[in-house]
Amino acid sequence: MYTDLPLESREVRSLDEWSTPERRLGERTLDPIPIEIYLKIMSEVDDKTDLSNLALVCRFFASVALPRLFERLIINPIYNRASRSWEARGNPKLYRVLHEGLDPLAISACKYIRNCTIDSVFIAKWPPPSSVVSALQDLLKMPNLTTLTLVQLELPKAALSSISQLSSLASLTLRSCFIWRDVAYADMVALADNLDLHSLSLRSSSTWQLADFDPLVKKSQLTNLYTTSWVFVRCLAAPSVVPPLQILELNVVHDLRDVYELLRRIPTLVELKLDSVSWPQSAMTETGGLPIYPPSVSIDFTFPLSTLFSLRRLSCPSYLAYLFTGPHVLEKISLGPQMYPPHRDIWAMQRLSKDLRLFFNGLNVNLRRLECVPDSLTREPMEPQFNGNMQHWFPKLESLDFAMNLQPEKNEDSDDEGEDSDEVLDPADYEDYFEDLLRSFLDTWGPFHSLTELCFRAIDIRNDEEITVRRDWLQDFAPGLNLRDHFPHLSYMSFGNVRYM
Amino acid sequence: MFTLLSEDGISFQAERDVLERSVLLKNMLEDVQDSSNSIPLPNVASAVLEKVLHFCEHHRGDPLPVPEEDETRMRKIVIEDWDYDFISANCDIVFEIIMAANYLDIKDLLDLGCKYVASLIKGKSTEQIRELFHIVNDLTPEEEEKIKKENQWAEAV
Repeated sequence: MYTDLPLESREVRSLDEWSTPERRLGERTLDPIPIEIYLKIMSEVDDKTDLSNLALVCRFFASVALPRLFERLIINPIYNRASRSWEARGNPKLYRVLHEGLDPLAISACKYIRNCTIDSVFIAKWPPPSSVVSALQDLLKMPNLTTLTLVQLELPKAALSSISQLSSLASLTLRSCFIWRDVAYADMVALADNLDLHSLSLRSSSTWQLADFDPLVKKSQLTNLYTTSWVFVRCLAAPSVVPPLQILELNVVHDLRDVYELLRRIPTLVELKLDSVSWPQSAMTETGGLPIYPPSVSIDFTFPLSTLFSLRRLSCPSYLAYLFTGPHVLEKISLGPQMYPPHRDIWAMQRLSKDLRLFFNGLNVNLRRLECVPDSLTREPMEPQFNGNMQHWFPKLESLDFAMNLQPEKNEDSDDEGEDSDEVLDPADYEDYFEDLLRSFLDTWGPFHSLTELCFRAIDIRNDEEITVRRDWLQDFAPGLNLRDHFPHLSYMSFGNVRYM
Repeated sequence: MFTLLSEDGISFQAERDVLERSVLLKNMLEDVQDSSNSIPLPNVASAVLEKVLHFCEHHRGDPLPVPEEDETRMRKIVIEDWDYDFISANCDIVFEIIMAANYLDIKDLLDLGCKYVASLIKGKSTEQIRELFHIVNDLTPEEEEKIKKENQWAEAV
């Protein structure tokens, strides 16, 4: 046991003045542990009690643990029935002390807060703008606040004024927020001028409101943008200054042609995430279908990824991915999460995937990870010349992840259409199918030397839940595949939520 | 076969593919065809080097971890059974193993050691954590009081 007592000093120094922890075993001084190792160990600790205990070990540990403890603040405007007034409650407790504004130690601890969310999403009634402004004014005591998320709030001009005074703010997210009538376009310009935003996320708000935010895009040096607004996409695609975006995420926007026009103008893009981008209006008039889901008609244009020479990561549903063409320099492609149309349309989507120009217009020279791939890529619509030659097309591929879409067979005695059926999906019914699929996978993808990770996920498309296959079936069947003969460096393999290797 | 010489002068022999688990040794061996000269490792004691080579021997042939691997690996970041048995059997010299892995640049061994120590921290008191690391407390009583007060504010409402 240690007998060391805390230092006999009344000094309270800044924790920034730490030194490498001294180590001692009895009378013997031990070698110091490098700081980067302490940091790596403490990065694995998340529990608040553990972090509190770490903070009291020594000055260096305190300088690491305290910022972790106060990194995130969540404020919820609450209606107090007893006092018939609105008040802001915050987690952790520091916020209450801070709100009262009397304790200098609490003011000092505010420097640790980097990420704040003000969220009224759990209450039926929207808080009045005055309570939102009050909470935002508390944030002015946090000099290192870099990330702010506002959820389901009405934002008056005074709220934007408070936000514009957050000098360290680099990331702003507005979700389901409503801009108050007293806000003018000039206020948005002032907000853009005062902030140095790198990341902006605008989601689930009315589109005309979001369009008001375009000064934030045009005047900021944004590298990261997420939006659900097609109006916003049109603003961006207009012939004006486009920010040097590196990460772009678009969801529930239309239509594809506008998105493609936008993409052409952002050669700096490194990561692109698309979900629910609708087909061009011209294609829709032919079928009169819903805009979100692709109709079973071909599209007369594709997007050449060679124009995005910095793009390294692409995430989108497969029906969109197939409208991109190679060659590309992507390192990772994820064809999910999928938004499924009614099950009868899945096969129409598969037909659209026949050309696979994303993969076979040129070698996938940098691709290391391929995720959420439809199981059709284990065989159809693969052309015979690709079979057994996949290593050539994917020279660096290390990780391959297939998504098998399952649904119960339609019961002929039932009028049930299938997609709403309550019938439990029994993986045992699919074992013949699984075995065929694995055999054809070997024929198509083997031999493949660079592959180290292989995963097949079975998904019930009615609820998007992952299904677990019988472990005994996999343990009996898989050895006969001799996977290491085809994939000599494979170190991980799972099928249907069961790990085999 | 190549020969490594530990801090306390003990020789160990190992194949190239075992040693190449270490980025430091891999870079050193790139220019070495002749294996007659031993490679001195002045920062690694023989008791630690033996364990490190045991780990590298077990993982020879595994793909090398990619530096700065993104967060989307499909494999869950858990400690494998063999690795857990290995590191927990050597818990009395876990910091020496971690420092050797850091010096030799063996990423998967460094990750394993750090995760293991982090798992030991869970549920321990401040005094027990100090004992684990053998760290001397350099906080004044006033500083401790201040941190205790801040810790109370860190609790959830």
